Amino acid sequence: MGKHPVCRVSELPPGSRRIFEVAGRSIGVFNVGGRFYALRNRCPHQGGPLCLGRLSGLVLAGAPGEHQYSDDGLILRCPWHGWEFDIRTGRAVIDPQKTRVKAYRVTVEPPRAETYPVVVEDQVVYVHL
Amino acid sequence: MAGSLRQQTGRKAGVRLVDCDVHPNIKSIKDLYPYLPRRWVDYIEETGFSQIPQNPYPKGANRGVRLDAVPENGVAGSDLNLMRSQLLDAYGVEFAILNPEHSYRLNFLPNADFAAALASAFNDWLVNEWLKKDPRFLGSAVITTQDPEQAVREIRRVGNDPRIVQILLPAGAQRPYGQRYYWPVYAAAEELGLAIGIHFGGTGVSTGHPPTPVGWPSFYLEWHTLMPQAFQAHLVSFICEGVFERFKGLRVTMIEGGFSWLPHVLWRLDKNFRALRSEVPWLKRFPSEYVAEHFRFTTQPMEEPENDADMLEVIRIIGGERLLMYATDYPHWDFDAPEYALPQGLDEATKLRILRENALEWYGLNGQASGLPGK
Repeated sequence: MGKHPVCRVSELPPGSRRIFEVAGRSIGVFNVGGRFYALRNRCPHQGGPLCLGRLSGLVLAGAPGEHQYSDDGLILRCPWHGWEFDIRTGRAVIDPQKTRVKAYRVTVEPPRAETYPVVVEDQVVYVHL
Repeated sequence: MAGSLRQQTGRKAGVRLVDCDVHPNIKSIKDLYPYLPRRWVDYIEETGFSQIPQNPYPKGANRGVRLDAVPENGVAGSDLNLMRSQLLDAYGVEFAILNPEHSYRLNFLPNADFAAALASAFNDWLVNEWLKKDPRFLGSAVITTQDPEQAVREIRRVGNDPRIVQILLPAGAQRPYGQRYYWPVYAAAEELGLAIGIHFGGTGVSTGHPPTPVGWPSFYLEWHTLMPQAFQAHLVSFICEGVFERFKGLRVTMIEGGFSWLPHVLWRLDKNFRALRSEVPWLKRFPSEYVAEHFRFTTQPMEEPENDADMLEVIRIIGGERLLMYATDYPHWDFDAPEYALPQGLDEATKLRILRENALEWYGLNGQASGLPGK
């Protein structure tokens, strides 16, 4: 399916996200602390626009009364029903083997036409289908 | 992008939907000022009153609303055009029954006169700001039962508007809804051809009771999950008190209270009735036999068992092809989308009944163009 340029790095600063149409698919691309992630913008539950959801952390407990908080900013919650997905894998927190949304590989590379080095901000974000 | 996806799937459904639970919202209490007597505007300004009593549980997911339904300026449900594009147009809704956000919890204001004034204001706001602006809208008029006489006056004041099809009450209550305390309300509703709509919520609020018979659960997850207990209590009360022997034309819509509990409750009730019938000698039929004639249940939040066949079995057992009416609960977080909500394998005739025909019959809308319901 190939790699598809979606925007320049400077257009997707840390803490931001954008929704792109890529080869007929709605895909959300996220910059979390300088790392890029891409997920299909369609919740497998009822088809809600998943990538418009809030990014939060992973809350776990070893025993009742514990609250372990980790992976801040890496858990995407559907804006409709609040289902939780790991932005890195697209897998649902509650049943990762069964419920998942398509996660795409993202790379940052120089624009294809350029043959000389470019500064990072001018590099291009590619989504790999 | 997401909008176009929904439009696509809405068209695919191909059914002109009747959505039995939609929530328009005020941006703030000030939206009601044009419809409030000066005395109560002054009271609000003097006291700083801003929030209609709410249960104490922070809403666990997305602050309780679909995040994509929050307009740039305002709160979810407050923007008519967004509701049109995101719900009515996207899914092909022919009629949407509007149940104003917050309004039914006025039943838990201690001051009966203030509550009744706010209920009247909500109803006038509903008619003027919503029902008049789109012929697809129909409405539920809220009443407050702290003072049943005022409730009856309100029903008579607004109930002749053909766009008002239902009287709205919360699931949480001071006492079970079958009791004679409420009968003047039912007499008025029956006379005007209005259904009684009992809506999710109002448990564990202010002057009301704890949200369960065993007290206060810790989490919103529990509060939300246990809401059907209130609906069960009301359904059993309506039947046992003989409401439907006195008001033979009364219709009760159970909104957002679930339905998979019906087999258990009705089997147990019918069994007990064999031994305990003499407590309720006015009943002329087995308790379960009143349900099909006098109750309907909205689908959202649809129970979602692992195996869709289990849900088909429940629908078969309860006669769901007649009892169930589709609802989205837009713009709340537990919204149900029509192309996903119903179980796989449901036959087309039943699907059509649930998505449309049952509600048209229940609210007397058959053969009516949008906006001109018959009673």
